[in-house]
Amino acid sequence: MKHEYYYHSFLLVLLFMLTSGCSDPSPIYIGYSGQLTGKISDLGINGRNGAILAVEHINAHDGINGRPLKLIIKDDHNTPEGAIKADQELIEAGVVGIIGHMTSSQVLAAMPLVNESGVVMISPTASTPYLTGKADSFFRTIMDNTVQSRELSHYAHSAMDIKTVLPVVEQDNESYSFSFLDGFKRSFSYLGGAMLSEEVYSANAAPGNWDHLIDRVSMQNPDALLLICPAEDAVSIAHAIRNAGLETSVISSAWAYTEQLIQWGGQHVESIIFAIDYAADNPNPEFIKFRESYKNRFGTSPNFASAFSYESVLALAEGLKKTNGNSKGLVESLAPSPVIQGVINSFRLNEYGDVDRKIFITTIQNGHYRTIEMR
Amino acid sequence: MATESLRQLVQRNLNSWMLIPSICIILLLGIYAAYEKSRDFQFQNTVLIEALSKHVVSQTNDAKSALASLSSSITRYDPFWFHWVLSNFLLAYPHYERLVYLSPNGKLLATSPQVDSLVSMESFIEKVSDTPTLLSKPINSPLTHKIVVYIGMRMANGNILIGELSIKSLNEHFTDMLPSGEGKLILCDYYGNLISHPDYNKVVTQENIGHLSIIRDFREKGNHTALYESEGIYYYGTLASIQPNKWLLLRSQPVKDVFLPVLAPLFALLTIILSLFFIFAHFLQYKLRESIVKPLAAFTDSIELTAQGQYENVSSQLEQFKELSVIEDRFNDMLQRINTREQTNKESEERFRQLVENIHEVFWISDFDNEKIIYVSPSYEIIWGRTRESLYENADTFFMAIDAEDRFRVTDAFNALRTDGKIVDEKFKILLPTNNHRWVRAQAFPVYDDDGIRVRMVGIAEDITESRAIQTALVKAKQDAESANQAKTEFLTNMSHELRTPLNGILGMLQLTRDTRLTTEQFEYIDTAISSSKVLLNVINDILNIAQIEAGKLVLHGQLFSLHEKLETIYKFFKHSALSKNVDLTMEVEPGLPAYLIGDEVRIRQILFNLVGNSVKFTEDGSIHVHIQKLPVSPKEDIVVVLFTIADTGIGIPADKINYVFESFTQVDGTYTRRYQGTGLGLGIVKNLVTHMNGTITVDSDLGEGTTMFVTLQLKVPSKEQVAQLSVDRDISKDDHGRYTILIVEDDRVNQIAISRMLQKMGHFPTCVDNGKKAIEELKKAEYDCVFMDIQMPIMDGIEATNIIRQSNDMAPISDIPIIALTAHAMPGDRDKFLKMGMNDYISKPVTSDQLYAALEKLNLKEE
Repeated sequence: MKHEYYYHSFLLVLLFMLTSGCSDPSPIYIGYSGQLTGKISDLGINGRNGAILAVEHINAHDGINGRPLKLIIKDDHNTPEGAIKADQELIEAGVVGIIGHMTSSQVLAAMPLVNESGVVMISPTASTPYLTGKADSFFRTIMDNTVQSRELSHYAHSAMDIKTVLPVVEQDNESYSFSFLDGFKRSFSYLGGAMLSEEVYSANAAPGNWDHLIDRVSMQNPDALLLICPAEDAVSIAHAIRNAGLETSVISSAWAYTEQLIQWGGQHVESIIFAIDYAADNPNPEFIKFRESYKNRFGTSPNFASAFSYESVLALAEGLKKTNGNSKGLVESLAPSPVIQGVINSFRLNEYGDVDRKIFITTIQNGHYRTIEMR
Repeated sequence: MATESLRQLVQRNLNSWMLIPSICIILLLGIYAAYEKSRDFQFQNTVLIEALSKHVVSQTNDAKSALASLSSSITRYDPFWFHWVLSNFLLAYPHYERLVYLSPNGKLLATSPQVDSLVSMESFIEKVSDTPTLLSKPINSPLTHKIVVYIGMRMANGNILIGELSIKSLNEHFTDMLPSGEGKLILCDYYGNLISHPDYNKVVTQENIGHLSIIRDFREKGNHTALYESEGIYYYGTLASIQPNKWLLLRSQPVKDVFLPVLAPLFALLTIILSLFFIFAHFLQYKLRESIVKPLAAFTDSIELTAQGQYENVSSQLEQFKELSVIEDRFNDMLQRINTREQTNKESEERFRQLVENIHEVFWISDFDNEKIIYVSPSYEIIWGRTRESLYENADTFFMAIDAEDRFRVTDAFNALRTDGKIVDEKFKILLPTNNHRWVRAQAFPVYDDDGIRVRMVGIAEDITESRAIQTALVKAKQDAESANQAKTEFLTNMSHELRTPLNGILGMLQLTRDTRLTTEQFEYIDTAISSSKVLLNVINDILNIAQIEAGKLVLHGQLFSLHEKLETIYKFFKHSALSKNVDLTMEVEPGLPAYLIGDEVRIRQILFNLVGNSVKFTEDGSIHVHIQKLPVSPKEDIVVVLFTIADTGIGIPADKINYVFESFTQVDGTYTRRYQGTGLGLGIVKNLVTHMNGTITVDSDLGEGTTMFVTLQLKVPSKEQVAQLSVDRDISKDDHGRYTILIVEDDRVNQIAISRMLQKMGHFPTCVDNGKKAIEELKKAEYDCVFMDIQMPIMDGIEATNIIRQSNDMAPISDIPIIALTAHAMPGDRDKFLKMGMNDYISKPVTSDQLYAALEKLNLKEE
């Protein structure tokens, strides 16, 4: 009988060898949802790459208690419908958490679905204050934009001696744009500055015509233009202004703070001032390490979206380690979080799932981002 | 022993030699086919990839050369003409999405198609050269939002011409290049960022495939074929690098598409072989059962019957094969032989069984390791009163049955057998289940194997209850006899005492009478009476000696003595009787014998007296010669062996009687007893004394010719100090002692008179009292030099009196007065007993004046 047993097991092993390969411990699925196409795809693609790098790093270090993370990527086309569709697909695929979206409006659009489904969402770059101070299943690794706007207004007013500002606002990402604008307005007015009425446009509409803006600048002659728009439009506005021979100072929200801006902006974007909790020339060794490994992996330098996205995955992984990969209890285990060794600096999520970080005042010099000061 | 059935054996062999090799061969074939296929695939891919690489390069080169030719055709800058040239160029080269014309400092001069582009191309300016160059990696065009690469060159007039080369058209071109089902063609940059992919959306979303193992493992040069996994599907692909852009071109196909076509027929073959094998195996099994297993089973049944002892010839009714018939024949032959041998064995066993089972002793054999009894003969049940099974079950019951008193000893003996191989021979009591006791003698022996290792124990046990009872009775009888003998000895001792006391009186009185004035006739009568008394005394002494020897109470007192002196004494003693018989008595001591020796001089004198006395007695005429010499051998350094030879020319001893001469109460011929006086005790005593002194005695005699006695004695040689001491003593003793006042304590009136007269004659002043009490009173009254103290007395005996003198406070001034015991208790050990009680010396009655004199001399009293 013993021999028969051996014989059968031999056949079984043979069959098994032929039909299957080796299998890993079951992976934990997480989703990434951001705009990968279109005008502002630079945030989405850099964010995605940051998330890919983080997942690869975590998996190289034994994953989540031995289980690997698997990243499913969806394009939200930078539209509310696209965001909901992408998240719906991710939830159906069985993800426990979603890294995304990259713009505040898409986050707000998808939040009802996400809250309902029981998965968590960690946005790398959505900084609208509408999401601040809420204990829900939303978390983020970038700071609320009111801080950025406040710091920007303070710097503009005190260091640059700017008294009048003309804001240019992209309206599709309204939850970000207008909250930033409100924040800036409040703070700048408080300081005694004057805000001119804002120039509003839509990024998804046909390529912009900036004649109206140039007319206003020429006529109203503000001390500075405040750009609350993506990099590509910032490039285009900068070109239009400078080509028109205007020397008006330009300050910008963090949205435009990407490599695209420098790539296509050339000398026209020099000296634009940003206030952001990220710095491309951050001397932190962790950041340099991150930057180099990103470059080696994707052939380009990371931007703030990459870094925040990377840290978002780290925060999610931290929570997943506590729940052993389950979505149950993930909300509670994510925030408040312990101090996480990020790539920008160490951070922790507070009980509302928000972060506190330092603000860098940054500008562009000779085609590179340079930090002026840190607040 | 084999545990497999024939079926299993066949199956195993089929598996081992047919199925598994077939499977292995097919698998090897499969592996080989897969290997060949993979090589083929790799080769195909290499060729294809190289061709495609060249194609990609030539594509970009085409684009570049087109741009170069365009630049050469631009000779002026007239906006209308310029746009016309550019748009014509775009029509001719649809891969170009757009053309940009810049001034040397990057100022936009013209674009086609014309868009209101507000972007800066500054970052490209520093990269352009005089020949068309690739300026960027695939990037999202800010104008068209398509993935493009930029190609540019500096023209002769210094202006710059930059073209946006669409990746999409390249992609479409690539997608069409491979027929469907021939796999995928993917182009990406060095980091894995897609440039071309059959799913163009992946390109649009700038997907990165840098994580794929085939890309991770790629070394920059040549091409690399490997298996890799993407989105859960395994692919087989070849990767090559396209210079100078370092782009990577990957041609891949799902593994199943590559290998299934070649492996499928093999799997089919494998399935067919397995099916055929199972059919064949079952058929074979059936045939085996019918033609081999069943006949074999029948044969096996016969064998089993045989094993149970039914030696019947095997013959199967079933159809069977030739080999089995042969085996059966041989088996039957074997049965015959076994039968015969069995018979022999049975008889042999029966003999052994009869031997073992009918002998009353218990035989057993046990294992050494587990101490289990292997066999015990049925006598066990009779002797132990327990079943053999109980012993087989638990060997310890053997020990449990042993009486508690003996158990440890027996267990120890068995343990010694186990550990050291010591033979057990033990007698012990066992307790029967009926609570009776039985005596058993058990012997056990180790059994060794060929290697000399103890493997078993065998043993025998017998019931010795009866023989032990007999032995006990014998011992008791012996003890009775011994006590009877003791009684006899005591009787003799008492008798001798009772005889000696009056004899002492008679002898004393006769000696005193002889010294009075007598007529010659009276003197002769008295003298005869004295010598008769002495003979009687000797007889009594001999009896006493024998009694002592038989009672084992003979104690030798070694002291320094001179053998010459002893001989002289003996010579003096026998001189007259020898002369009177006309016998020439001579004595000779060989030189070399030490002057002094240590031994019991009294006993040595006794031996010589007896032997010389015998010679004198039995020699009528002729000579008696006593010769003493030292033998050259000595057992120890301070011991000498002295040979005494007493040769006479007497009547001799008949040869057949020689053996009896040393037995007590024997004379060689009863008739002699009349002629020669004597108790016949002499030689018996001599023999015993000699033996006690580690000596030998032999006799050489011819009837009528004479007798020679040879006696050897082992005597100690004294040290020089001892000899020196003796000479001092002697010097002192040579002085004649003085006159003493002596108290004689003696209840017997005759003895009182005899002793006091003897002492008076020596010049002393004796006083007599009747008992110890009076003696003490007397000692208190008057001063005495010494006391002669009888032991047995009325009122207070000598021992008590001595005690009082030595211990009492009243007597303190004279507590050390010398006391000499006088007693007829002439038993061995008496002397020591008296000395222990505090007496200084001891004289046995009847007392002679010599003894008194010697005793006083020994005391060495101070002269008054």
